[in-house]
Amino acid sequence: MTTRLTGPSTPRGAAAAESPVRLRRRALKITQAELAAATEVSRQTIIAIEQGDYAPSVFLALRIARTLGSTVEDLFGAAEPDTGGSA
Amino acid sequence: MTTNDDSVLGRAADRLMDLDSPVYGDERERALVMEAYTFGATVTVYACVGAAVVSAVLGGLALPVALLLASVLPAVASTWYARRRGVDLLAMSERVTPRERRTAVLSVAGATIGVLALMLFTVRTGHGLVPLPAPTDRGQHVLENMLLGGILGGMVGGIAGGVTRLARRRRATATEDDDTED
Repeated sequence: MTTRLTGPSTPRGAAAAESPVRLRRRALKITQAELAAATEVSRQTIIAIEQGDYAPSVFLALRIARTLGSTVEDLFGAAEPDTGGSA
Repeated sequence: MTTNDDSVLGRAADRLMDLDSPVYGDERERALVMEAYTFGATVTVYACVGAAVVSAVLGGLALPVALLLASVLPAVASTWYARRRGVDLLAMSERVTPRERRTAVLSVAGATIGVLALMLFTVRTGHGLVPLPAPTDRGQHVLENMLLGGILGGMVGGIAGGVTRLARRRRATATEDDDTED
């Protein structure tokens, strides 16, 4: 069981479209693969984070925020965690 | 990743698990791997219990016992492993719902009692509830061919697995599109 960042009724496309991580990454013109390499996780994990299917640990969230030049609060602070399901 | 458990078993467990191995992937993949292994262990428990019932029906005595012991092994091993990291799995199992507890107890305990009853039948009658035919020369010949086929099939399967792995590795080096949803 992993913690989701979106509710079960949120369409996957909608979650991906509104993800602050995705918006910030695109603004910096960084690919998912590049962000994954910089944060030492797989590209699938970055996809799962952007789609709201996986809530990263504090350490990974800090690495992502540092790589994107943002803060954890800005990237992950708006979503309410919703436990249930797995990525 | 190792623990402070310096006992022989503890060090052996750390070496067996090798939690720093890249095979576990990143944090999300690691969590999923652990979930998957737990699922596999749960399936194995029920498969061992089912196989014990089948072998007892067919008149087995040592095999059902071995399979029942094998079905208990995941729980014993995981309870020991968790305890050395400060987690009491037995206490946590008390949180299961009454319905889930009833299902588990009835299925596993019921199967165990059934196996013992079938073994008692075998001991008393000299054959299983469903007796196996006595081996004949022809039967032994067939069995021999089956075993040879199994050995050869295993070798072919191993080669096929190696080829598949090589092909998968080559595919993984291909360029991936950015922002692919899947």
